[in-house]
Amino acid sequence: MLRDITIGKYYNGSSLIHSLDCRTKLAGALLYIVSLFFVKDPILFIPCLVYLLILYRLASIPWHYILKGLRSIVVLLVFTFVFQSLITSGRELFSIGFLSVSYEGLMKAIRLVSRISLMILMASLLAYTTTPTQMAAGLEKSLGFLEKLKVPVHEMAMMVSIAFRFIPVFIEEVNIIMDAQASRGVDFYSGNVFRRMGKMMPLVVPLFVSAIRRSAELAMAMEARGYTDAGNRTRYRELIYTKKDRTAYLISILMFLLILISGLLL
Amino acid sequence: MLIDIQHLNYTYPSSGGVSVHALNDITVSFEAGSFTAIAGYSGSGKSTFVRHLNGLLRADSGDIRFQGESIYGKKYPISRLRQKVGLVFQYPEHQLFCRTVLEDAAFGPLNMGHDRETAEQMARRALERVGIGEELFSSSPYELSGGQMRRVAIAGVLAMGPEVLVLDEPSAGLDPYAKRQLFSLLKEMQGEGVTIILVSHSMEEIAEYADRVLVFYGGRICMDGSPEEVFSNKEELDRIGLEMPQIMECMWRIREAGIPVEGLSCSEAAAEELILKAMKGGSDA
Ligand SMILES: Nc1ncnc2c1ncn2[C@@H]1O[C@H](COP(=O)(O)OP(=O)(O)OP(=O)(O)O)[C@@H](O)[C@H]1O
Ligand SMILES: [Mg+2]
Repeated sequence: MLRDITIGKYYNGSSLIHSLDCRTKLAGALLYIVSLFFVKDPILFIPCLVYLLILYRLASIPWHYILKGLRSIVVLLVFTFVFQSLITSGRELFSIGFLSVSYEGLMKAIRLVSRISLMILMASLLAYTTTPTQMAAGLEKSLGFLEKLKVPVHEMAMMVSIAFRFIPVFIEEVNIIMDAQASRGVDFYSGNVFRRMGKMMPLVVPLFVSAIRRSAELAMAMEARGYTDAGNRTRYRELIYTKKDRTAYLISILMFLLILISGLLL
Repeated sequence: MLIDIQHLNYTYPSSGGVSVHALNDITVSFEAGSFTAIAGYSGSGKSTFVRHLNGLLRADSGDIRFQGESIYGKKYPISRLRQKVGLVFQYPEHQLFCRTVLEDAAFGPLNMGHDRETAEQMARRALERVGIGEELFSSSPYELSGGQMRRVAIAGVLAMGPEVLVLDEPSAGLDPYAKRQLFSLLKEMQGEGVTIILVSHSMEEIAEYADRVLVFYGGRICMDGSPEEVFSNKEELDRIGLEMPQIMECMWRIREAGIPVEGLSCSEAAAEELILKAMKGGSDA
């Protein structure tokens, strides 16, 4: 249920990965995800996975969090796998009735599913170790050069970070309203899928009403503390690269090149 | 026993950091028609506990029996339980979600299967009982004052005609008059056989209205007894950060000052009598 969403949720910690500059992490994650597209031979996904697991270990994220992130897309993964292995034609491995699975299909399915899983895991790692605020700050700084082209980068970053900020607010709000309705006799957990979906409908209007109320309150609180969009804003925590970041960049780029080259060769 | 709770444990799932063991081996039972108050410092687990009473939170281990039947049974109709055990939330704005006050109060009865007309009838009666006038029926619950919201939230629960009424700090944000009104309503309902469980930070309220006090401390029940018993244990109260009700404190100080007051009492009338008796005794000697 909504209560159990962990994907995209910050995991509080003070590990090495947590302490990296978020631009480093952003670049590292991007490089990794791009490099995955060059992998053809499924065997190569194993070192990719190992690299990822090492990063998770360095970030001190409990193992079950890795699976938690994937659980929400397990249906997608299964679908992809089955579809890919069935629709691709080639050397037949075995067949069940009129459905036949080819060697090429199976390879393609494994490749696709591994790629999606690894991408999601890397993105989750980024989200587990970087707060939305840091993420927005990192984006703002990385895209700062666009200011010169009169793109309102700061305002956009503020909007993005507030949007992120509202994800937990939304989840909390849904829980509050569900509790309130459940306390007065709505049973969200019985009945078939359609009946249960029907019971979700009365959540929508109150959810939006309270989200709008919350955002009005937030705007008021920001203005009460003197927020305007004018002027050059300084940060409470400046983003500064340290030696750790340089090492991390180096490792990310090396890993990228390694995967890229072996992907092209194999 | 109406509600029988055995070895309840609950830990909030956490994302990183430390997880909070909010309830720790709670064993307690509630008799039908009783008026029980729950006290304890902020964060001691009171709200967590009352959320278990109507099954909103599910304990990690332990059992709750309502009218002899475990509410964690596979086939137990949990939504029926929630109508019988009405919970008024700590924050009234968390409880209101309909477009108008009347609709909100009628939400429970509608869910119980009453037709719209009957449901509105029940809602009107409940709203009147908590002192919300006709003129507010069609306004949005979010446009009300804090105290009015609180009363509408209570009405929404009353409208279902619960057998047990659980209120989480209901008097917060009410003016003294509304407070008194609320408590006389609660007493009236207790007279009708409704079991009342009340979370409160006001020792005076507890002393005046409750028959029994449970004191929570770090997710455990550390004291359980009549207000007189609980509040006269000064060392323990000091340890867990609670205070005596003012009247009792007053008697305590008089006694400290050397006037031998016999016993400690929570009710104003009894206290007055005891003090007067002690003073007379003093002047006789
Ligand atoms: N949703 C939650 N997630 C995690 N921890 C929680 C949550 N709600 C409460 N807690 C923790 O559980 C403990 C008990 O909280 P609870 O709300 O039951 O306290 P309380 O006695 O009702 O306090 P108060 O008098 O302030 O209402 C606290 O330590 C609190 O931090
Ligand atoms: Mg509370």
